[in-house]
Amino acid sequence: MPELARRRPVDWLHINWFLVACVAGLVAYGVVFVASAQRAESDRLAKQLIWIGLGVVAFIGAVYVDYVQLCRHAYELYAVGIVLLVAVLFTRPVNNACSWFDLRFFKIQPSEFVKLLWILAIARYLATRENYKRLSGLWVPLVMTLVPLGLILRQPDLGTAMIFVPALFAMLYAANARLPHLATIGGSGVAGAAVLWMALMRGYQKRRILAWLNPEEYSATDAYQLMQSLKAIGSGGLTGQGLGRGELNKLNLVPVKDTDLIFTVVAEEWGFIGCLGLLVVLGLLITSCFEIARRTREPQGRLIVVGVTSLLAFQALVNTWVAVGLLPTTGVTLPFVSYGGSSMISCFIGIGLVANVGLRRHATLARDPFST
Amino acid sequence: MYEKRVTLLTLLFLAGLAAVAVQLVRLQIVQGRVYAELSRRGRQWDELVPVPRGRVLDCRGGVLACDTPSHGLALVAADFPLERVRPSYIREMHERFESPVARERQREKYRRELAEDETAVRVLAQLTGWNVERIASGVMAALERAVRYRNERGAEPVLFDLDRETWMRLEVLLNPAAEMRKRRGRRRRRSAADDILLPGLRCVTRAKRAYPAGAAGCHVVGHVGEYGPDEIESLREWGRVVRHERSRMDAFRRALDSPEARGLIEDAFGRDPEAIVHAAEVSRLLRGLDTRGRERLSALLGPVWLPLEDWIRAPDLVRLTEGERVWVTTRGHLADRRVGRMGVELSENEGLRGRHGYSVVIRRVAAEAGRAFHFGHTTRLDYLRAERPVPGEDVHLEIDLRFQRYVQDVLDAVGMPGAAVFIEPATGAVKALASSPAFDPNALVSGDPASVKAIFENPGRPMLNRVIQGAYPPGSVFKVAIAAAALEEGAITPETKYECRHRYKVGAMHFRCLADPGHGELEVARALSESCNIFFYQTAEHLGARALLEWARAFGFGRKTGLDIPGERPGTLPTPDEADGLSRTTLVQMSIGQHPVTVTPMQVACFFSMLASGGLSKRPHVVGRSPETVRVIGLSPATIDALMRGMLGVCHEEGGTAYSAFNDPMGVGLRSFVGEFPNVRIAAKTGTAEHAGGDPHAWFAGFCPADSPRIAFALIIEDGGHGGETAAPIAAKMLYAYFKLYPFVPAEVARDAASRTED
Repeated sequence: MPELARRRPVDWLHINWFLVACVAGLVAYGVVFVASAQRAESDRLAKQLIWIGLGVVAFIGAVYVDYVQLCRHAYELYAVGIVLLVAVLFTRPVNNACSWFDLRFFKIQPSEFVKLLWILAIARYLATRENYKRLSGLWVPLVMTLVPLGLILRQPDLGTAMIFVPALFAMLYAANARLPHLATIGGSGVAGAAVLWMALMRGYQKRRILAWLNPEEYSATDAYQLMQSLKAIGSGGLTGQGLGRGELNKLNLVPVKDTDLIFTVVAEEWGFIGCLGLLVVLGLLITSCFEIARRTREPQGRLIVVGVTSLLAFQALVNTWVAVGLLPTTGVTLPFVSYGGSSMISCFIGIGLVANVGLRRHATLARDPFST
Repeated sequence: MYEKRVTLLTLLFLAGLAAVAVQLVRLQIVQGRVYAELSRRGRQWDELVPVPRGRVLDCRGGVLACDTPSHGLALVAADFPLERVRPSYIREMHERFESPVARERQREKYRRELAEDETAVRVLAQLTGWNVERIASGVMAALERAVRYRNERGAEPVLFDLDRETWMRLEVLLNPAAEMRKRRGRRRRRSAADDILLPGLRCVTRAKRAYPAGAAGCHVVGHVGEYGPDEIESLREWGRVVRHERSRMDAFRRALDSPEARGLIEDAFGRDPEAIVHAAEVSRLLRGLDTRGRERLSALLGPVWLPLEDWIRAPDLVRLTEGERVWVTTRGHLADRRVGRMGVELSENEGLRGRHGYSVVIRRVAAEAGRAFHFGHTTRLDYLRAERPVPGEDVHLEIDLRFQRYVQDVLDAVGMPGAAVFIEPATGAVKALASSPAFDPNALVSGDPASVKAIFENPGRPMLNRVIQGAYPPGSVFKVAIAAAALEEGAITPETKYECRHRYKVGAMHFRCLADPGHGELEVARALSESCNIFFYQTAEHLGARALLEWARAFGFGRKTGLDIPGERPGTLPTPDEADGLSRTTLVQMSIGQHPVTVTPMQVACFFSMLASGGLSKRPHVVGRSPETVRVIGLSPATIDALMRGMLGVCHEEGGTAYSAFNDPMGVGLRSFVGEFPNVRIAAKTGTAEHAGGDPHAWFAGFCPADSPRIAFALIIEDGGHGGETAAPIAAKMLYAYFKLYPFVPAEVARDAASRTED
């Protein structure tokens, strides 16, 4: 169907502006609170602005290329991603983890981009096959997920690796895989995790979970981050202590406050109201993305949007849940808000893909896909 | 179908966000005040003001122990820019590797990594010109201490005892002033000087304990050590309890401000809360509440309840001394980790270390003036409460350092382990206390592993204070006690004579006297001065075991003398109740101070001191304080007279066991002791104590001048042979020195001199 996927000029005016507005809202939150959270001598705000600029360029790029064209090369791109993940394991560890390529002026975290390449590959696979509707057919997407996941765990980066699982399930679910099959896989996954806990988990990882279950016991040691986060959030109260006036933030008593715990800074300085605002913007972003997914008929487009949205939404959930103590401490950024180059750019590319799908109305010959 | 599934996914994620909102309501709205209080407490700490440890001085102000400054480098683990070796890895190392060998291997690995891969270490090596390995092991030690003492935000020593020039050069490069310059000049271009700055590294001067007298008096002064991690842990535990006690009491008072709460507390406690003064009582009452009572109070008091609730969970307060309370108030981050480990440093630790001062400091954020948004901010410190430091008090000893030094030297020169102690009978003040071999406390404090090891592995056991920890058979010295007991009991009179024919038969066994063919007939005084065994065998048999043991106990044997140096041993002496079970052989052996009796040199000195003061037993002490009478033993003048004649004979009558030691010249060109000090007459007794394995221990003990006693003494040379031949000449030297330092003028001579000046 070459003429169907014919290259057409991009109709920029009909881009989903609501989506863009939501992203702009999140980015604005990010700029304000990275500014508030940065230390006196730091230049993180400036860098964050550069990342945003690069992100916007990446966004335009991601919208510009037709996603169907992109999907033609999904498997090749996926292979490149795997190579990158293997290569990064041979770099010099930073903070005891081999997650970055150091390019002198900035560092790149390949796992952030591999997430997206993986979504393209899975979307392509599910859109072109039917066999995943049998339990025995599920092994291909499962292996396609476990390979990058295993490589990321090897870095080790539990937070990023974790994100893959719900995104995979969301895509399979949206693609109408059979629920009992998903339940089977999920169940065995949980059983596997239990074995992992017993046999493989390292002392510090176990302790983090115990600390999460009982923060006050561990407040001086392992639950320090959680405890500081709770104190900062709690002392924010209804309206917060005012921008730039959060005591724990300004005294640098909140660890990783511009990345993993930026939500905490929002909570301390703008209080419940400010947080509610942020949550509403996040909610609107998620809803409008899924709305695009619902309106799309082309199967690959559907899956890309569901995948990217689940990825971002789950990341946002994990980040905020960790901050408010609903999950054990793990390092995941808040999309568009946290400081960080790779994360910012990959979020922009992701949302660019969503907008891309929303912008293009590819006709399909099939009946409504994923309905049987 | 597909659309339904996507909608479901949407709802799922929105529900996740809603959960965050619900949790936020809980944290920020419902418990907001509680967390605000916690946040305030987290920003508050005690700032310590260290105080110098008190000095230990002798009776004339000579310094035995004092603080001296030691210059060096310290690092703050949290700030020191290490890239590969993190404090958290070292914590993990301690958790992961149980065996010291594996841990040492890992430590070695980190040390190598520090030396090879860490820029900061290399920079420091370049700056100082020192060996990289030396710096790496210093940094490693500091990191490890920071982790073990949980002091990653405080300074831990890296290298100390640097010479002043190096240190001052480093200070110019590293001190906080340089850091301040850097901050102020943030907007201007970085200069080369900024680049070599190593954050977290400080040039510091800290107090180090020094013992200027070296080994002299080491067993009296002892030494300081450092609190170990376990001790710090328990201090920290107590600190947690004590630190909040005051704030809890404040909270309790605040709770009483509201009449409602007051009524509630009154109901709950069943008594008037105003009347409660002590924190411990509130704690007890709070713990007595049932769950419902607690919930009601919690609901009503809000954030005020929080510290009270802590109280319920807190462990019981043991009675800590005031000094300890202040000490532990500081989260175990001691201003000074030194603690006395032995001798006076240990027994007087509380007074010596004083009380460090502290302020309760709370950190606040203050906006920089002239900025709309408060992105630029400064940190302001509010000082809420301050406790003034109380410097450590000096301890004044009764010891005379000049005499002590001489005694120690003479004793060391013997070449055999031994001990000597000199006491003033009138007060119980110890003028010198020496045990040989001695050790240099400076070596222990330096922490240099080789010299510490040399002390601990020395077969002569220099750390043993033989004066109070060595238990030896007293030998013939004990005969004085037997004689005193027998005379007082009436078992013998001063005129009673027994016959000595060299041998004495008890059952199938023969006991001997040193004199061959025997002393013939002799009374108690001559029996003492010539040390006849047979006389005392018979005396003991007349006296009986029970009376003998009762008297020996009354004379202070078999129990601690109460000297104010920790670690004293009581020696061994059967109790009077065991007397009936003792065989005749044992009784006979005890009469000449053999098995099963053992005594410490201190006990012997105290016994002679008691005789010297006519039955008044003073508590011996090294730390200057008013004399204290422990026991008064009624000895009749006749008894004392008989004993005195016997003991004077030892040194002043030909045939006395120590006659030659005091009547022969003290050395080439010197007069004899008696010739030098004709006014000083010595009452003493020698002892030659047999023991399994080795030559007998040589004893010499007594007091002088006999008619107005100034000093009582006991001296033992382990395996020294005959008391009169080995111990007595050494004692003569020491006494010679004593009377040179404290010339003795008999009372009548002094009176004559006084009356002459009046004329």
